[in-house]
Amino acid sequence: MKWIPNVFKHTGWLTALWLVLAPVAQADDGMITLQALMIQAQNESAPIDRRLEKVEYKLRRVFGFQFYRYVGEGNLALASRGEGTISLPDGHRLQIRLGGRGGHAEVRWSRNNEPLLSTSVALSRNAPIVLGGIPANGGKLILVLTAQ
Amino acid sequence: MKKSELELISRGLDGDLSPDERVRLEALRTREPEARTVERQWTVLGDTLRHDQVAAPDATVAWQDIQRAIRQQAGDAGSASTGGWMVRFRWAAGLAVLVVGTVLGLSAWRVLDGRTPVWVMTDPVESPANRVEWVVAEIPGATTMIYTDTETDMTVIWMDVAQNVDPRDS
Repeated sequence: MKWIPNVFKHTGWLTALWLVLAPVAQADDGMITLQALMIQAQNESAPIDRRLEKVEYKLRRVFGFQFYRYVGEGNLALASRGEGTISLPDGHRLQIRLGGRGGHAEVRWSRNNEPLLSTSVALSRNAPIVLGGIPANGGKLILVLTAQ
Repeated sequence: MKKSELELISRGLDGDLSPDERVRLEALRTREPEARTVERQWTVLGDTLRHDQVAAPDATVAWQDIQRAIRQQAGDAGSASTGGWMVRFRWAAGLAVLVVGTVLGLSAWRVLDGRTPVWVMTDPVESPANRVEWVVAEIPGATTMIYTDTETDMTVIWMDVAQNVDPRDS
C-alpha cells in the first residue's frame, strides 16, 4: 500500500486544475441559445437569401408558399430557468421564459405590445418550432425559433 | 621463427619428442638464439603456472552462483515492469479521482443552486421533435392548428387570423 500517498501526490495538481476549471465549466453549463428568424412567406417572387438557406428548404416542404423573404432575426442566451426577450423588426417581440427541467419554454409573441400568440412547448435542440400565420404585405409572417 | 619450430620447442618442453625431433631441436637451439630465448621464457612461464596453481572451482558452488545470477536478473526485470505498471496505475487512479470529483462537484453545485444534478440534466430535451403543451391565439377570432413534420422535425403552430385555410394548401 506504499503507492497510496503517491497517488494523492500525483492527483494534487489535477485537483487544483479541476478547482480552476470547474467554475468555467459550470458557467457554460445549462445555457441555451435561442435563435428567432423572422420570415415573410409569400407567393410573389422574392430573391434568394443566403440567410435562409438552412430553413428555406424545410419551410418549402412544410408550407405551400413559393417564396420566403428574410425580415430579421434575433438571438438570446438563457440559463435553464431564465427569461428574456428577442426584439424583431416592425415592433415584433418574443418573450421567452424557460421552465428548467425538460426544456419547457413559454413563448409570447407580440407586436407593438399587443399579444398575438402564446404557447408552451418542450423545446428540443436544433428542432425548429415555427410560429406563423400573421398576415403581412400580402403574405404571412413566420417566426422560426430554434434552441441550440 | 616458423610455426613448426615453435611447435617443436613446445613439444620439447612437454617431453613428447622422438629421437629425430630431439636432434632437430638441438640444432635449432644452436642455430637460433631466439629459439633459446623462447624456450627459456616458456620454461619460466610453466614453472610460474605450476607454482601458482589455482584450485578448480567447486561444481556445487558454481551452480549456486549461476542460480543466484538468474534470480537477480529475473528480479531486476520484474521490478522494472512492476514500476511501469505502478506509474500507469497512478495516472489511471488520478484521472479516475478527477472524473469522479468533477461529476460530484458539479452535481453538488447544481443541487445547492436549486437545480438538478448533472446526470439527470435534461434541458433542453434531446428528443427529435418539440412537444407543444398549449397554445392561445390572442387575436380575437383567430384559430390555431399544430402539426409536426417528421422529416424536418419542424413543429408548426399556425394561426389563421382571417379565414380557416390550411397553410399547406396556400
